[in-house]
Amino acid sequence: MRKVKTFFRDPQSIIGLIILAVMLILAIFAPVICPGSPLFSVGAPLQAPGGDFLMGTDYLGRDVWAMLVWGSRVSIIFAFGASLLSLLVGIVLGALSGYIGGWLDDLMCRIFELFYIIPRTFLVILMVAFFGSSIGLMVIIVGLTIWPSNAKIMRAQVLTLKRRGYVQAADVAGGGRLSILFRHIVPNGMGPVLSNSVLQMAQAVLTEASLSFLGLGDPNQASWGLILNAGQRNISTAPWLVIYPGIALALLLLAFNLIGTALHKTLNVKQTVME
Amino acid sequence: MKFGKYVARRVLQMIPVILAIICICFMIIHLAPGDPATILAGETAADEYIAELSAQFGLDQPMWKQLLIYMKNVFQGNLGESFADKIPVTTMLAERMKVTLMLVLPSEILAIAIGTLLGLTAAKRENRLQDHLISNLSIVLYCMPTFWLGMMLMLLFAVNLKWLPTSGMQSFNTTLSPFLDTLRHMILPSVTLILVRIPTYLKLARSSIVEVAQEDFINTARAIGYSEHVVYRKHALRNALLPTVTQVGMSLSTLFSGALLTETVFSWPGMGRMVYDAIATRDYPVIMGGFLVSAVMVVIGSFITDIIYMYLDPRVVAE
Repeated sequence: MRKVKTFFRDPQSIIGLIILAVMLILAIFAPVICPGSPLFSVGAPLQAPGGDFLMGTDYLGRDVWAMLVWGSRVSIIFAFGASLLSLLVGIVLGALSGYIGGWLDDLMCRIFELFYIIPRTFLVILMVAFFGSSIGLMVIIVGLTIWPSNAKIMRAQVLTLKRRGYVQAADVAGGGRLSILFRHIVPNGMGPVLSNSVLQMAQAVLTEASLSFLGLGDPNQASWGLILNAGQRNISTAPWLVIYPGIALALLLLAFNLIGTALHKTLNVKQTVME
Repeated sequence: MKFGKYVARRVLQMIPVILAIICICFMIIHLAPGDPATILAGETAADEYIAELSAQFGLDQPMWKQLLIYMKNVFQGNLGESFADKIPVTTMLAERMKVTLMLVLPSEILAIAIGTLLGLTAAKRENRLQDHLISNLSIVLYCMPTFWLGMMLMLLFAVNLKWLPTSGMQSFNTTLSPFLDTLRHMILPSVTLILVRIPTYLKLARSSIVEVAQEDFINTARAIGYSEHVVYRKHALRNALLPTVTQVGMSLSTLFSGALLTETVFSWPGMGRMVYDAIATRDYPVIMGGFLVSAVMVVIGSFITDIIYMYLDPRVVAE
């Protein structure tokens, strides 16, 4: 309870939560705020902001504000989808490898090593380029490339927690091994994994934006990276095309980073290396 | 002697990992739908021509056979020939790596230096105005998407102020010497890379210096009567550098792939761009070469990290 209070008293986490709340509202109520598909042309191309359109139009005459609002959906889906997948895979594999040990643990450590050495950006680009760029598939690809850090943290948590008295008590009381692991050990070791997950949301959002910026995103979704990709060509004549979506992206990343860091502090997680 | 043995063990440990990376990359490439012969020949090409191209690239062989041939060639230092450009991949890699390293290495070194010094300044004034200013600035910088920051710098300094060129490595009509001209083109992409890398090193340096500053030997140094400057520079900083060294080693893993976005924004013809283009045209040997070189760089990086570690903290060797 005291921890919850410290978290909500931290100005950093409050700023983060406010930004995130605004983005969530935009994402959820996008059809109400900007009805109709944002990918249709609604006016003359490359109109400056101010006039009929709050943030101007792009080279196809699409409303930048509408694309921005709908783009928040893509980013939020990515943030929660990919990090949730990474959380589930990371928790299960990390917990099992720490608890069972032996060959499984050796194998997991080799996999961690592999993920550390393989160039992740190239890997994600390769998979998205070769297997398709629908948003669901991209969420899965990103989620499946970022789980090792969660697994590593969970494994370390399990290794320390499994020697605790209450775990041994549960063992003596005759609890099944798996039920002890997932009922008693994992819930108590969730803190650091959760704060890492919030930071991974930022990573997932950035990955999606980068892929879309490179022209590999889902062409049927208005995403911030897509606006930036199109805007790059007109940077000298229509700078608003790259300014606004970039600010939105940076704000969302800031929100996740502030919340994640505040959680780290509240839960007293030891400093981890930023990637 | 002990050191030689250690190095040999590390190399032997890394070989299976690199082989695994070759296999994974190979499998993803070959299991994916679409085939390079068709893409290269064009959609309207005759079937015979596509078959001929497939045979020429060895793509008509079973997958395991292709993999074995590739591995054998790798161990002989032959990474194959680009499907599209008909140049040996090793030649392409060497040229592009030079271009990327030219941009990335000086930037990373400057980012380490500036980040660590700012971290030191912040740590000295822990929880005071200067610290808050530096730390908040660092959070904001950390959240800037690299490619967006690059575009904003381009907008300001190249498009609006016209001080610097927007993109590329060389201008056609210039009175500057080729060296100075390239340097001028390097400024914006380098500044982008430096700015986005500063927060990582700043945060690390700040937190580890704050931690070290509480140790007894720092108080001892103060008690002896050394100035604050000497206490921090000579005693705290050196001991606080270990996490930074680890981070430098980790950064090497993203050296080539991480520069891709900056290279794209500024049309810098580096490695990241080469691999990206190869993925788009399904130039298998070039993709494989890019993955392999990046992986080997990480291995070399972790070596260098270990050696610097031993120099900074002699206790490591004893273990």
